Amino acid sequence: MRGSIRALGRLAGGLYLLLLYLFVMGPLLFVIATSFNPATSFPSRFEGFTLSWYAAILERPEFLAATGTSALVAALAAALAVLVAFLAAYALSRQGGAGGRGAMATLLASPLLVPQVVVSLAILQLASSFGIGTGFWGLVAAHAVYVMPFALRLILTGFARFDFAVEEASRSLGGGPLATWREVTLPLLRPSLVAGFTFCFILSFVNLPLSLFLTGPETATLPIVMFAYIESRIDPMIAAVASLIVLAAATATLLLDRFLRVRLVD
Amino acid sequence: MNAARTLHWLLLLPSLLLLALLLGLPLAAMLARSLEPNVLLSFTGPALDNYAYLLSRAYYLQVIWRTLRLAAETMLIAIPLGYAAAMLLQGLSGRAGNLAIMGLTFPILAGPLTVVLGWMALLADGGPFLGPLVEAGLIARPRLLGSEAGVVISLVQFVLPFAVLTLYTGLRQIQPPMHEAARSLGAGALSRFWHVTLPLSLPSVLSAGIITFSLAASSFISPHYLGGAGQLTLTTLVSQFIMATFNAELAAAAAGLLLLLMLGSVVALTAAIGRFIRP
Amino acid sequence: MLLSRRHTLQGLAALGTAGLLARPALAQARTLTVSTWGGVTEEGLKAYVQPEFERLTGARLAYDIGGQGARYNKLMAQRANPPADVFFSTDEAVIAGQKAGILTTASRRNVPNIADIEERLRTVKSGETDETIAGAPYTLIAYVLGYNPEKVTAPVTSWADLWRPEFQGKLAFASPVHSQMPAFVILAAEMAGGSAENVDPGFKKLAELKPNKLTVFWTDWAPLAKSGDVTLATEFDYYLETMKDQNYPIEYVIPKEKGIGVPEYVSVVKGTKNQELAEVFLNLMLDPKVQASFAGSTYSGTTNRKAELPESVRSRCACGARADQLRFFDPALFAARRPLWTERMNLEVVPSWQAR
Repeated sequence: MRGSIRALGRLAGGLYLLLLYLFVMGPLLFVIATSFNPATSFPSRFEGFTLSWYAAILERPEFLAATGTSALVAALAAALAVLVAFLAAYALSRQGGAGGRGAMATLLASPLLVPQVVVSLAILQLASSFGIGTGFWGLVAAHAVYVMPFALRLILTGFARFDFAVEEASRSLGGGPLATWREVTLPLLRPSLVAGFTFCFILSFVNLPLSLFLTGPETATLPIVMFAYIESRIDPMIAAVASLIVLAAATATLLLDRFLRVRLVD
Repeated sequence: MNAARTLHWLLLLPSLLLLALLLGLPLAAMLARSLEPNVLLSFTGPALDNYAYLLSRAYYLQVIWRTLRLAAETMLIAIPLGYAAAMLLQGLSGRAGNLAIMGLTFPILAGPLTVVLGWMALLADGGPFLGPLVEAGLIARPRLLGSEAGVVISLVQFVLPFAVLTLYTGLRQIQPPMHEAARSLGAGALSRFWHVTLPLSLPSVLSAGIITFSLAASSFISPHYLGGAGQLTLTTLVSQFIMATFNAELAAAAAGLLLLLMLGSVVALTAAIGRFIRP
Repeated sequence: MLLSRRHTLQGLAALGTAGLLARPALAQARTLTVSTWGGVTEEGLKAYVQPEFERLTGARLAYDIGGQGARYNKLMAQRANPPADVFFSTDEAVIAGQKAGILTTASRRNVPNIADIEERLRTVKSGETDETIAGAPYTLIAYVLGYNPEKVTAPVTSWADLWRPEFQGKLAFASPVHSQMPAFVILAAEMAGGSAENVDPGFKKLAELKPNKLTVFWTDWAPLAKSGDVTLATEFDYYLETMKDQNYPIEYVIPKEKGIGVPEYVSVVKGTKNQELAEVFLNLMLDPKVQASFAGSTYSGTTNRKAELPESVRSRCACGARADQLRFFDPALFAARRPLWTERMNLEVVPSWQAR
């Protein structure tokens, strides 16, 4: 009796997850399917199977270049964001619940609250008023600041269950501060750090409003190129680009899992 | 003690520096700009006329209200959905769990623009998904596209992975001994959830709440493509001011209002959930 | 070799190191940065203009792509050190840009092709002197009515058809931020007994419409045309031709009151360090062969009288005689009225559109 209830519960749980995944994946699955549809108008009934939309990407090197730029910007921005967020979260968590912690955490989360289109323009105006261009590193730094709150949130959550006594223990056993971080603190926080990096990477990779005024001929990101393309063209080539990104993400997930044991789940 | 204080600020320094440079300065410039006259309103600045103008027009108040409503609805739907999923996903481990969680991020990585195209097809009354159902007389024309419901559906889909990821990470860090202790004390599943899991997971619920609310309130592409005729949100309004009439001053004022509202919402949310978080 | 190396490096392009690697080799080669739209315009430039430009000047082209509004703001913010040398925009934006001090004129002598451009298509008057021109009106496009021929009950012939009951709730209409919004304010005003100087009746008349989609780009509403949720739309002729090629259920008509003619310009950015290169570029954009190539691949109309087109293309673009069916509004008036009219659209018209 008990076993069958449990089985029923498991079935319900599985069904729920299935529906949820269908919902989250639905539009993407449709877009991926479209990328193999020879029909030129969107959306169309399926008229067969073709790879010609993938071939079309090869004639648009700017999409590949922009994907590279976006991946690079996202990786650097995410790394920078996770680094500074980790340092800040460490400081805030060690301090415990003492005064000012909440205020400081809110301050550090404030980039979440600001409309990015306006900030992007303001950054450009400010930089030019000082006579400097924003360039590639300006773009990276801006992305880093605006994805940092996500890393901070996750890492703070990680620290919430972190017992600083283990650091004391390590130190009392003769470990230096850096060794303690490397051997004790970082491994314990690894899930939060990996999740934080993943979050930040994704958010930077797909960001449009922040890049709107901070990109140039050499630094056009994928969302900028996609958005510019879709102002005058709508065809399944865009779907093919999206499918390739998903394919790359899936491959990266598997490779990281297999060879580096980098997982969101331990 | 003094060394500890120094270390504390040293650790905070990089983030504060980045923040001051790329948020503080631009924000100050933006707020200063919001007090200036522009192509639409002439007055002697600096003054609050731009704010007064926006707040005295029913249309703009509607935009503000719509922005907050969309964000709140999205958050309130996404959190419970995401919480349940995060709980269930705890059962998986290793490669399967990792793939399941990472899989959720694929639609985000594909880019909001492409996903919204998918929604445009799936939500259209005559589209390939609803079209056949409507033609067969199985459902009435749902009119989702161009409605607020359509926007919320796509926003929930956009923020759900973030909610699941945040809650999953949070739940993961609740130590199993806690559950074991509760179980050995004879607590039932529901009681264990109510007295142990839920309270301990509240910090991540708060995080997920803030993240989903902010993402929804600042989203641009969903309301633009899926929203009804002229149903602006503050972000689409701000970009209208900037892009169409180059009115950076009024845009700055609208952005200032958005900032204020978001700040208020986050403080309220933190206070509401924070009360239940045990130190 | 040089080019291909740059190419492989492009993914990393932005990275300072890549830039440093490429820079010494390219020291002599100058770059003209073109601020333009992505998609069809960029494709056309790469295919028909870039090779000839590089052959003529030895300089290379770089593209800063984006919507006109975003690119205009970039110029505004970086006046002291402009991020581009030439700027693609509507005629209205040329006037606004001159006034804002971000766009400048070109030498008439260095853009000799201007002599072959149809006079009525040179709608920007400010900056035109014996020595200078405001910019190069390189194409003519027409804003017209597109409709689904399977769904209309009677032929669509007039702007007044926008108000036909069958299209209410099925209408894709220019958004208040669309470049041609002011034209509709005037057209509606004239239909309701007003004029460009008396536009109140126009706003009232527009408020009677019930659009279900406000559009900026044709791609905003194309999926809805396909699914049958939109049956009538205001759109540019060359995009409607593209839609026909892509098998959307669409036909279009130039309204009998005349369609809206929009010359698009490429002009020189004020403060450019490459004024001569920019003028070579402008002249190329007015070249009859370049224009014919553009028209052949994108249906954007030619402005040079000497452009030779096959009949199959001529009948599908705003080339030659079609210009007679178009009305040319004063872009200076648009530029002057836009801020107020956008606001009036938002406050007086859009709220009634929402209540459906």
